Amino acid sequence: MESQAESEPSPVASPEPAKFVSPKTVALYGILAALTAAITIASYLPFSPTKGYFNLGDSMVFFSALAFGCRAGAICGGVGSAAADVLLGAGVYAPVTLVAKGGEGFVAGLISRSGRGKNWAVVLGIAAGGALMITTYFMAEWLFLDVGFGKALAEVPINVAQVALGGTIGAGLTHLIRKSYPSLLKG
Amino acid sequence: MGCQNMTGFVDLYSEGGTFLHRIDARVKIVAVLFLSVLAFLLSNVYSLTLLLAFIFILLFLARASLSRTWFALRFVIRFMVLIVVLWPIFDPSGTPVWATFGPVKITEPAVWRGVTSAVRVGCLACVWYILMFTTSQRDLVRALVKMGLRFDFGLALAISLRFLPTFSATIDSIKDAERARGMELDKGSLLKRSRNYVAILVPTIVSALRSADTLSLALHSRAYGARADRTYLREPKMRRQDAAALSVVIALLVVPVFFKFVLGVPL
Repeated sequence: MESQAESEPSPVASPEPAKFVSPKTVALYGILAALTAAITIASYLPFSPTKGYFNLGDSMVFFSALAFGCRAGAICGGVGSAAADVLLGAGVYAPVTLVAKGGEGFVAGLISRSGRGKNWAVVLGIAAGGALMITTYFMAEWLFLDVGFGKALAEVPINVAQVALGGTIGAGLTHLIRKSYPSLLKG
Repeated sequence: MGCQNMTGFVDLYSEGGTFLHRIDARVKIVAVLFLSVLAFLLSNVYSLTLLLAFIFILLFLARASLSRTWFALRFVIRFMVLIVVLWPIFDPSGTPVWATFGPVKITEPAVWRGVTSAVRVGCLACVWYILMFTTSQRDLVRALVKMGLRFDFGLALAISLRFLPTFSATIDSIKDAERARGMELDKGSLLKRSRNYVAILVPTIVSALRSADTLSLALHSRAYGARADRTYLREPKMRRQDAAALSVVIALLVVPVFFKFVLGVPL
């Protein structure tokens, strides 16, 4: 920001244009991130006796991305999921989650928006975003956290199930809410 | 201390007067980053164990109760055990061989590598909670903004941290309402349970998006974004003890790095 101000020729009288996102966007991003985290935490519990890491947080990442675009998907997916990790006691994953889920939301939003929200674009977006998320987790666990190839591989099926279910639910939610409450999705 | 209420939502921060509560949140963020980097740089199991012990001492000094320390470890212990168990199975390199089960060879260096990695993961998992147990949300967001986060994103982060317990409670009451109508969330296959969960997600999202609308009106009415530079009532200042703590933190990273990479001590 400072370097931009220096490069501008006449910074004297011109009032600096407000550089923030609008209040509506701030409120929406905050709420969506909180929602992602809350749903990740809440849905983690009923599944915890059987499947350990399984949760439905991905459905909210996909919902944010499909309903409000790639920036909302990236920020709300990344920040919300990472916050949920810290609050669930899995802080070791938080930096990885920030990148993995943020990328997932970004790619899903980008592809579905550039296909104008048609069915094939939504499916492709979810698949590409999910693939990115799974790969990021796998590579990060294997190479970055260095937990060993076996442990990293053991995580992949759970993540695939999470993307499949989360993607289906996320796309369904977007469709349902767009149909029933169209006014809520005007971002 | 009942830090976990029925929603499963955990409030990590607790009021306190320890030195870890008092020092500047920016110093604590830097400390968490540096200790994480240190955990990656160390490759000797003994020095990593020492680092883990140091992190536990800090948690102890932050007056984290046993239940809180257990919370920090609860998730990661199973993870650590899995690493130790799975590592040797996929890594047959090295000698001496301890045991052979068909194609699987358990070798001594592979077991040690697994243990080393598990301790490192333990360090990375617990180091967060030094910051989270001793820093209020407000201080955390303010520190991040002071460290260069755009303040509108800082505000969004503050909003999301503020609303997290609210939405946890909303989800809880919606769950109760659905249960009263006879829905079973804890039974059936994964697929069935996930499908039942949609009945909770839809009302939650609709009510949350409505509160986003109200919130944006509230921000508008308080003239959010009226001027480009944000002013603050309280400016966090680095005091002498913060500077001292920061220099200790820097030394914690620099000294082992010097010993390892300049003097060649196998840390």
